Amino acid sequence: MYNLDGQIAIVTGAGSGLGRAIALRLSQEGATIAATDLNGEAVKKLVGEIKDQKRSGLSIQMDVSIEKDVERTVKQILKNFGQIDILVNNAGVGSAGLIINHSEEDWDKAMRVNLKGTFLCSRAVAKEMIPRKRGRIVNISSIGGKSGEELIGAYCASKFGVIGLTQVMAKELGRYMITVNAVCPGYIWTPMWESLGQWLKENIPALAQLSPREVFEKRVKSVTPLRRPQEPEDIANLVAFLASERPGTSLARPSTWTAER
Amino acid sequence: MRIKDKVAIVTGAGRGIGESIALRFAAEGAKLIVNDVNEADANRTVETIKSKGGQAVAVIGSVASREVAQKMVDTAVKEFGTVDILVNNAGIIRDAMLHKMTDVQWDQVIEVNLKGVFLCTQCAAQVMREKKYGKIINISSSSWRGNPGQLNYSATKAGVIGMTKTAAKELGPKGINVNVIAPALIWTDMTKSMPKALLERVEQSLAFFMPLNRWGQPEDIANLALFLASDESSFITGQLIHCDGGFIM
Repeated sequence: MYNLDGQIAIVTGAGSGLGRAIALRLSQEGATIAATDLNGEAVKKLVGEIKDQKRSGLSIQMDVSIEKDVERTVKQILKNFGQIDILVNNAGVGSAGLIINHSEEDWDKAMRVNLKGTFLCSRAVAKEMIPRKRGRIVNISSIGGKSGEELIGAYCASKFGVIGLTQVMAKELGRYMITVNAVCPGYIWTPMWESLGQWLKENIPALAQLSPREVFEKRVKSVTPLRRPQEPEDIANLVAFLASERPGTSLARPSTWTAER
Repeated sequence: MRIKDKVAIVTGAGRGIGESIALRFAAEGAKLIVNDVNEADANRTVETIKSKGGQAVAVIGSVASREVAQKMVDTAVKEFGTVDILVNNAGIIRDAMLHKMTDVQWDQVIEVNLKGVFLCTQCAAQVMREKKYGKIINISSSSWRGNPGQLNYSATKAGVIGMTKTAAKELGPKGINVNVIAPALIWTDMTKSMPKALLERVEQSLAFFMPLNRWGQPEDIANLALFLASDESSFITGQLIHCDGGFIM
């Protein structure tokens, strides 16, 4: 559909969930995938599947929050493929709890992975994109990056940060024909939602009889006009669009997919 | 073919952004109702589509007329069996500073840009609700945030955003997606009609406010409209998307 033949795409956190769906979708569009994850086995398996479909890929175990790891990874990708066209900063973590119960570790982990990771990967890759005057960077923020939501304080703060970083980079890199956008997924069933559902069920009497999954589904039904939860493929569709050459434009309000100011 | 055999109505499709959207949709397999107030322009778009093997029918008239809005939907149903996609693109400018703006300038812009969107949306939604499927794409403008000389125009373009969000909430449960695109500085007859001095000022300062440092082309909007018209975006609704080279963030 978008013909990404010959393009090299890095997807961080590609071992599961959203990142996995994004990597598979970009691969279907013809891109060569450099799949990174903290869980090396998971991306090895993913790249195995990609190769089974007669497409090319490379799996790399990497912690997005460690500068040396990121620099080493980018070097390795350049050595293998010679260029980087697309970066999807997808790796992220989240835990659920009231802000008064957030530990310092909870806070640091969200900031380190979600925010610092996006910074480190973008910096390393943008340096390679600038001389070629082309590139697509897509950051995964969240609806929690547009409005503060109870129980996910550190996560929200880090995802708000991702949007700020996206706007700065869009302005700094636009002159090199590099577009930078952020996507804000909404409700997707993930481990974070499992613990959120558990907390809501334990603390809201009306929800006591429901399972965490049912709590999640009830919430989706009550706040989503389209009346269905999101699937990883919904996000992958949008990332593929933003990663393509076709738009040729910056979707200037990076987070418009979720909400207005 | 990303929207093969879908039936699309594009208002103001005789020139500029609307024409580009109609041609792009046709190239991706859609059957088109080409609306424009200017008969020659509408016919030219229809001919272009047909010459490339596509299907299109013109409906001439102003979107500000309920009869015309209804006729577009009726024609779509009669000629192609249904309506899947509506692009509310038709728009006019009657620029004047506040202290010089006439009632006529105000009324004309409101009639076309605001009431026209209401009428077309209402008529098309009737068909879409029944079949629980539809894509409505409204064209706003970066002017919604305020632009000197465009008091009337900016009011309508901000109004369209409100309309989009309400329609998205009302029609979401019916399987209809409603989104709005806000272009800025797209090189069309409308922007070409800007006063020369202003145009020169824009050119000189483009790099200061436009990260991508270029004018947009109608095709840039058409690409985004196509994405929003396709099932690739089936979980995106009620959203305002600025397609403007980074002008507004």
